[in-house]
Amino acid sequence: MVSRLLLLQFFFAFQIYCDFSGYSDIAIGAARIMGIDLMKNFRAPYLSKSVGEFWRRWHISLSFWFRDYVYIPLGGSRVKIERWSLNILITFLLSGLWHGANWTFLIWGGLHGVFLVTAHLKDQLLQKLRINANFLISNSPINILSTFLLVLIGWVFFRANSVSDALLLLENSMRNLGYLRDVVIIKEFDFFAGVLLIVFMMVIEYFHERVNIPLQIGKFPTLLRWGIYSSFLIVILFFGVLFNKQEFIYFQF
Amino acid sequence: MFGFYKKVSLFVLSFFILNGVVHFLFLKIVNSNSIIQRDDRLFFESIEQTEYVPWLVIGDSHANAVKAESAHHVYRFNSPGESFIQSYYKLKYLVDRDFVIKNLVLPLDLHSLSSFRTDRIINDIYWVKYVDYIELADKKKNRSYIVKYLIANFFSYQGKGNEIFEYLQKRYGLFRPADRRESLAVTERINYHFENCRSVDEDILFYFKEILQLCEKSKIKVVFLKYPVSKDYYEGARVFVDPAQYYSHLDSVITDFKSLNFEIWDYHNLYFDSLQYFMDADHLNNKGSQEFTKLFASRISEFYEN
Repeated sequence: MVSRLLLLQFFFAFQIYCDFSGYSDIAIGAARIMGIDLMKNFRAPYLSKSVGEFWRRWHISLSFWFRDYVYIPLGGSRVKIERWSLNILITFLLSGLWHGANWTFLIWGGLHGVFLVTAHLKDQLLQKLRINANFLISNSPINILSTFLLVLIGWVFFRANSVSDALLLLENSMRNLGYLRDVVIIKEFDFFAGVLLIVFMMVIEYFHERVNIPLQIGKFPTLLRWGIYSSFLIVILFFGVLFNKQEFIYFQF
Repeated sequence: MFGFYKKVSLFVLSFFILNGVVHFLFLKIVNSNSIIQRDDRLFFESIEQTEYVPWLVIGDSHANAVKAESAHHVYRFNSPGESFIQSYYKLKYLVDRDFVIKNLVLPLDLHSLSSFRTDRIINDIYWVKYVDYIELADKKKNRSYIVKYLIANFFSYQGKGNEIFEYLQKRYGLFRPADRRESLAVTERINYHFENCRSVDEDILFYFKEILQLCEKSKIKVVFLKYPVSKDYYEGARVFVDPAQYYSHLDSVITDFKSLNFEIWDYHNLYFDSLQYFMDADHLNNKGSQEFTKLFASRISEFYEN
């Protein structure tokens, strides 16, 4: 059972990721052609097992900048827990403000700060209670899913036009639940094509975490390698948009 | 260094061979089964015997209001989103191939010359048959037409990923089609046609005149048709376009063609009180089209009775 709003939130999470990560990759590729090596900006963020890990994988260049120029000058983690919590909150609130002078971005940043502090406090509590947290942490699929859900809540504020809109969306997310076939309002084949491509992307990212796929392809016999490169070009041509004037979402930031 | 260039050349060559195969398969399997190509084939099949077209209806989707199969002597050859630019080249294609056209039904709606369509040709693979993209690129000083021309001729599948899924849907019925709920969507339609647009685009006006000139030269009578729209749509459109001023401007353009034989049939308010005939704010549904075609056919029959 699922609601339309939940589906919209799910797809937005991947829309913004593909949009931003895609154009980062274009920039990285274009720079490499000219002999400049740029840092990776995304590393499979939706496979993160915690919000902290998410921020080490999402918009890495900005996260590092905030770490180096805000978080560490504030004292970083070498301070008391109360002060550390404050440092985290300030860093994330500023990160939210960087995206726009709107309460929605501020709440989005604040939420991520709260998620991080809460996770840290939880770990400390478990340690104090001498509960073996390894069992809880090692259960990766649950951690990946729960992190994704927390990030999804954040995206609602990020995308909404106002805080009241975001709250309304969250409030209604679990209402009007129905079977998938009844809630899909776009063409069914568009929906399944979207889901299929997302799954394909996630599988590739999962394996890329373990093996460097481009490096492996580089070891293939020439003919097979060229076949793979040509197929990539054909797929890009198939799905690429040349004449649509729609800009990347992240251009506004 | 020579080895590098040799490898690059071989890779480019192998890519173009693969591309050629995909391009050919896409044209033959997917594109030839699209509605626009099928309608195109049907049109030519229906006129190839006589090469005579007593009444030719062209234009955008508003022309779907005429059900050609229910009206004698009428051939409908319109397509979705067709502007006068495309209509001109289509008409020229027929005239150049010696098809005898007696009467041409041309839309004259409030959005017919709107700039929202000036550089918007949907389905280049189809239009490359009619439209001279190179000439258009030169006239409009827009090089994207050359790119579109090359794509349509050599990379037909570019940006058509969705069409593959649509083809599979049609061929194998894999997925349930989206519900076609009828809704007026007045604001969306008005914004789409008029918001941030010039009501008379210079380029479209240029090709409108080209059509009239071609008709004048080929002795084709033109029937300008104002298609039925909903009252809400018309009132909403008036915020952006003053109908009196717009049509007075077009009248002066049309009357400049001294020997052009023309009539204006105004049906824009025909169904102002019959919302049940509309699929959306400015398109008739099946029932509305049937009713309108009866009216259209009876008006045409007057020509044959006299």
